[in-house]
Amino acid sequence: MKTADKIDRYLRNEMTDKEQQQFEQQAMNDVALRREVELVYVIKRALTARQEKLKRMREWSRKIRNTFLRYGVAASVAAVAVGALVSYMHSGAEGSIADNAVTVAGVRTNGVDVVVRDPHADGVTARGAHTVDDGADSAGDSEKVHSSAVERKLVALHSGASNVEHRYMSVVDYERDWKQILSLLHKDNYAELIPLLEAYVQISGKHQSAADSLLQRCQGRANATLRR
Amino acid sequence: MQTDIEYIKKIQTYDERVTEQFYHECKNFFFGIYHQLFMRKDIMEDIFQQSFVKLWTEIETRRIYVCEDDGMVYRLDRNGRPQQLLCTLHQFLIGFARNDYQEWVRRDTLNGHHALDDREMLTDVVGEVFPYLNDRQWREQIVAACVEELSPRCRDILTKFYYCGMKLEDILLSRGDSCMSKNGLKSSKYKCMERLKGKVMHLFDVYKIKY
Repeated sequence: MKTADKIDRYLRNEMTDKEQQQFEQQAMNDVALRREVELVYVIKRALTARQEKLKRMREWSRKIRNTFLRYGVAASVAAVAVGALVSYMHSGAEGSIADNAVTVAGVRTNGVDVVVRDPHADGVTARGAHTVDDGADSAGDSEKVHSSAVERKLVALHSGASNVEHRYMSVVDYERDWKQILSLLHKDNYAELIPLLEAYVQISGKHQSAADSLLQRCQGRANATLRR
Repeated sequence: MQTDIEYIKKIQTYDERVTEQFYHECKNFFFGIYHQLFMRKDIMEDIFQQSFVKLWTEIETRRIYVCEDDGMVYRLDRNGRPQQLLCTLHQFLIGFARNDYQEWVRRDTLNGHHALDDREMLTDVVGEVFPYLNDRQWREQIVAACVEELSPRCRDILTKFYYCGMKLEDILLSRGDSCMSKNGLKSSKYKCMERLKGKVMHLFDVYKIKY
């Protein structure tokens, strides 16, 4: 067997114990052989180091690809959710009815009640609506509320100044109305603000007490203006 | 983002996190301008990998280094003399990529005939500098440079044999060399190894590296 083959077998751990011992003994006595083994060993190490680098580079590439993928999926889900919400809002504003029952979860946990009052009062039909009256809460079904598209969005139904009904399906809607209230307050537009506030205070949520006190203040100011 | 000097220093201390950051930066830079430099797009990823591993090896083996005296970046030229690096590491990477690209194109044109096997190796490896580098580090630097300069075919065979621990039959199979026998491959491997050892020993002699 050639020396080169022996060295290869030695460095690849292919020798038997006996062969290995013999080879090491031979290398101890033969300087040229020892140098040869060392040289091949250094080359092997250089090749290994190079491959390890390539391996790590592949891992880094994979890692960054996975990160992009993860964010991409999250962004897609968010985009779909926003799209669905916008679509619901749009369809609800037109008074359309979606017959497909959907499951609304987390409405209560958001701290905003689902309020659906007599849907016929203003001519809007909410088929299959889950009605939550002041005292009649269907606790058993609270996790799954079947609702139509009309219910899934906030619809501020103005049927006369004193008969405003709000249907809240999300905190987003609730917050949006609160912003509208603040905006009207800023403009001193009490004519629109008071009816809105009157409806808003009926909704239990984090702005309820603030809305309550605001309503009282606004009514006071409106009266004062009228007196003047 | 770090400066080239910081990158060099940290890569030389085997800082994995910084090396990874450097890799991503280089990749972004490379892919940002690749289309302006090269025609072939299908080999972009391969070219980048080859070029980056060369750059990384040069930094790691201190062929590219930061001089402690003046805080500037130097690289050993083909005569083994340190020359100040006047471009950024990113630009230097593009230089490697350009060479690799030309190799690819030539090999492709020659339709698999690896004429580059006989190419003269660049002798730009070491000089009588860096007293702080010991013989072992010198040897590693020289061998790493010689491995980088190997033809892709030789490097592939040797890597599969020494790194992957593959048998000659398996290498034959994995390379898809249908027209080559086991003995032919063995002979090729032997020649590649002899050529590599020859280059390494020559440089050891030139630069009086104890061995």
